[in-house]
Amino acid sequence: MATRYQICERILRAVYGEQPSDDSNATIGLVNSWLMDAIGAAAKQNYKENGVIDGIQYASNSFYTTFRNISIVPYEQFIFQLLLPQIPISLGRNEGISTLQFVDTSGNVSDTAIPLSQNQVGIYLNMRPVPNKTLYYPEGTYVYVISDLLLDIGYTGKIRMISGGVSSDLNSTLIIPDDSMAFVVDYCVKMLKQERLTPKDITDDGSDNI
Amino acid sequence: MTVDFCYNLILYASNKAKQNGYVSPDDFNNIINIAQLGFLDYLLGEFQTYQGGRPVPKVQFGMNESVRQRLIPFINAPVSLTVDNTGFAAYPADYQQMDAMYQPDMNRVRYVQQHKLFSYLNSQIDPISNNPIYLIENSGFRFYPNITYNGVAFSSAKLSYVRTPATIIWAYIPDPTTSIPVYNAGASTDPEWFDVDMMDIIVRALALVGVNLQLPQVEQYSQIIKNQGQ
Repeated sequence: MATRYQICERILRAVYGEQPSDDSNATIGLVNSWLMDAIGAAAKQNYKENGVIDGIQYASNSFYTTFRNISIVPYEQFIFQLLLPQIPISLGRNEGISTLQFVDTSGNVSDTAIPLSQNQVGIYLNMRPVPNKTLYYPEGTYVYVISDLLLDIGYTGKIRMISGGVSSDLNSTLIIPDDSMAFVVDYCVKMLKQERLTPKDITDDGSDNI
Repeated sequence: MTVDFCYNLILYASNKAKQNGYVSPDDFNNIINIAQLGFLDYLLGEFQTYQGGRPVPKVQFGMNESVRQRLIPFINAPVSLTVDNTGFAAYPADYQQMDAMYQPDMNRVRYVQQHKLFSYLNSQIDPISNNPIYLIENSGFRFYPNITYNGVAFSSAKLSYVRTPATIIWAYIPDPTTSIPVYNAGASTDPEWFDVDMMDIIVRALALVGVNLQLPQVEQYSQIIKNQGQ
């Protein structure tokens, strides 16, 4: 396991062929931003490979992370909103998120909520509510929960989703299995080398050379 | 290596005792300083040796330890720069070329050319508030962030740089009877370079002597040494 900073440093060394100079243009921050894309691409690659191996497409458990203490706010009547730490990766209909649960102030954890695809949302909203069942559907960086229980009072969300970890914390562990690390590193090196090799517009001469 | 040794070597190479010519102390003081600046320029990287589309000279400061080692007499420990509210800090008096720029906590400060300033100031991936940058201007460095630009203080930096070598001086007192210049060690300034590098500088000085005295043998000798080594 390596921290984000360590992976970024490895990638920088691969790009520059040595320790980067103090005036290097590729920064840890830039590499970290490419890591987000690389993790998504690695998860999708893993999803496809598992389909070839097992006949069923899925992302390996190693890609998943649990986030806790996510605030819940009311959105519409019987619909509540959670802000995710990142937009879920688009695997299958909504496999970027594996489970959603709710935790009360005493630490009791609910059963998992039932995921809906976008097509199922329309159908479900035209049905009679299923008693004692909580359903959810993700949209972009939000998750919407359909519930007749007032979740915004005394509950927080607990969600398992594919994520590389906390991208803003360079000292956090990068949640990527080792067998996908080569893919992540290759992806970032390729993108950064492409930046380095692209001819530069070296003067402001009114000619926009690309 | 003492300046007296340098002078005597140049006199010997230019065959002073015979019919060819004589290098006066004043001429020596001129050419040896021109030669040391020429060698400094060579070590810092000469534009003439750039290749098309690849702005890297054959020899350049920072290329490897060997080149840096030759310049070490002119690289002091990093000095502190005081930065004013506009982000400006003047060059040190003996400043010759940049080596490295740090924040007080030893994090780097990146160099930026003026025509890329907008992009750096507006970067959200590497915001200047925690990724400071500097530009070079005619009399000093300009740092961002600064109080005037965005209200963020950047009050000091550490600078490692290549300083100008001290002027080499072969000082003398005219002999009261013969008026022949007599070496005055106390008033002289010895070269600061390592001995092996002084040989390169002497060879450059000899090239100037050869041109001045129209001595093709001296010029040829100098050229051979420059091309093939000592």
